[in-house]
Amino acid sequence: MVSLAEETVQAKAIPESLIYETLHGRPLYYKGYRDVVANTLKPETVIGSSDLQSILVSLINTYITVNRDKKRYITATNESGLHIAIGDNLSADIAIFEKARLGKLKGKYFDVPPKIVIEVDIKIDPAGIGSDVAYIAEKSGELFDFGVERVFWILSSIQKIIILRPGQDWITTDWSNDITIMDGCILNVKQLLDEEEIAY
Amino acid sequence: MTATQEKEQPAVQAIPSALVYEVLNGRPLYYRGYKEVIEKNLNPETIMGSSSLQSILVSLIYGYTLANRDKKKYLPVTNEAGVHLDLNSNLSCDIAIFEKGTFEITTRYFDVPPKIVIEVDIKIDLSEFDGIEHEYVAEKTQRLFDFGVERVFWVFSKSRRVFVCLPGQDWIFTDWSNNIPIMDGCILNVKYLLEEEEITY
Repeated sequence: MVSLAEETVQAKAIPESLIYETLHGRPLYYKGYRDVVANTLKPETVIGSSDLQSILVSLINTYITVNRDKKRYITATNESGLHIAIGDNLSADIAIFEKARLGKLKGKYFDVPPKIVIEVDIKIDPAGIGSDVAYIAEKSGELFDFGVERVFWILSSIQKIIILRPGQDWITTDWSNDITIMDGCILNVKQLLDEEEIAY
Repeated sequence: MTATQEKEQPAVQAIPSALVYEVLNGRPLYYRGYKEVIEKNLNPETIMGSSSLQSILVSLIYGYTLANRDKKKYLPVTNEAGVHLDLNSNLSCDIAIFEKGTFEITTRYFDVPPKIVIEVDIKIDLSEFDGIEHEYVAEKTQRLFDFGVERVFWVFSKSRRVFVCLPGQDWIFTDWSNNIPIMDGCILNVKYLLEEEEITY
């Protein structure tokens, strides 16, 4: 009971602006939020993506936007908000929607599932959920329950990509390999970076 | 550069070497919870042990490999087997399966590669890896492959999944209720092992 009371107080002390997303009703905070709460940093110092992360999101989003079937699919980026249920709001680095499912845009978070989600790195403090593996499992599971068909998770620090599909084994492959995102759209992250002469 | 090195040295020296779990590519990796030991002046023994589920998993999987191997060819060892790779790497293996005839028995760490390594969960503090388990799994697995290990398995008890890693191939992270070939004649099913022993978890 003591620890519960303590946690409540602690949770209230964390500014809402440090919440990256809410997963199953649980707020997940930006990596580095502890330093902000300890008053050593401003929220802006932890909320942004790293240089490599932003460039990866930019290159991949552009590549898919160019190589998609324009009649059927649209890409969204910039931490797209997905409103899954009350208390469940997830963020997607790149989300690929079927145009037919979107309907009229309302200026709010998406409330229909994208077909495909691509995440670049882990922007939350993994301690809040146990670990990166637990986070990837839980967030992907939640996206699959929502109706997402494929999740790709790029981990830039180890230059690998995890390919996730509902009820199947996770495949972790080198980002130098070709990866089928959807029909006609084969992604090779290393090649994208090399083409732009990005050193990393 | 020099100034940073000088600053870092005293902090490193303040950590008792008893809290080092293993040394990977020249970096000492400490037991998970080691910071608490230092801050609260606890005995290292309070954090060095495995959890009950981890110990049971290691025991059952080790027992299974021991019973289902080619006895003429393979010898599994356990108990955080020390493997000395070079001056910069001394790794700990929950279960290591050696080929007979490839090693001499000494009072020191093994200095030849096991054929197969099976890890159960992560016992180190992940600060060196930015808190990301995947980074540690990638680096330790690659180091073992470079040494000559042919297969590395990581059992993740919280996710109830097993990483299957072979050199130069994609990693597979599969549900532990699936059959996983460890070596000829030895097919592991972690869920089945636990259920057979009527372990609830």
